[in-house]
Amino acid sequence: MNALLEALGDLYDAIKESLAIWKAGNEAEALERMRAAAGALRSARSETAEADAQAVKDSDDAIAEVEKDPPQG
Amino acid sequence: MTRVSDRAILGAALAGLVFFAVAMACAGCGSIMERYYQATAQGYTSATACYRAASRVNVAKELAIKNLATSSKYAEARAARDSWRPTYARVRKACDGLAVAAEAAAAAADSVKAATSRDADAVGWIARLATLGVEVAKALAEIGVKL
Repeated sequence: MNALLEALGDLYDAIKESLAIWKAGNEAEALERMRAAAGALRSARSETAEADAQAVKDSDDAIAEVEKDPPQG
Repeated sequence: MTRVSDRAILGAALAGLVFFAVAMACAGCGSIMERYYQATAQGYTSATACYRAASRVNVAKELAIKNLATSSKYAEARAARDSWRPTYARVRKACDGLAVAAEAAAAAADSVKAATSRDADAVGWIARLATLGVEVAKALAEIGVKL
């Protein structure tokens, strides 16, 4: 539930960001916002890839640990 | 996995269409190139939100899988892992699709600006981004993140 709330919080931020994009007053400003948005995407991609890789490793390790020493009975 | 209602998917699709309608119909919102840059920035922002929202859900799901494994529910942990990972891969693919399209639109900006068919080219790119925005909204709805 917390993860969902946080995800919805991210979407809310994105909507706020979107409103700012659509309020851009001229071509140069819109181009600048496009470049800033590109930078934000690059950060999000690398940060989430790192978090995902760690989470996958943790759960794979936990499962491998049980496979190595399966519970008896 | 969270069950998603048709209404949620419809809502997500409508959000994407509203994005498209604003891009197309907002004649008072500046030049076609301004709208092109805005739509591309919107594509980047939506892809960013897609990565972040999906990753948060993924980290929580993987933690739940880990907890199942460490609490002797090995079979459930494996089943949850086998069910969740393909779902997450589909969502990441939708995020990737929009991100790649936004990058392509940004890279094409100069040639669109210089083209004699500038308006048609720009509208084509905006439509492509809007379509992928709808796909992202649907993919997020599939994992319970509704717009």
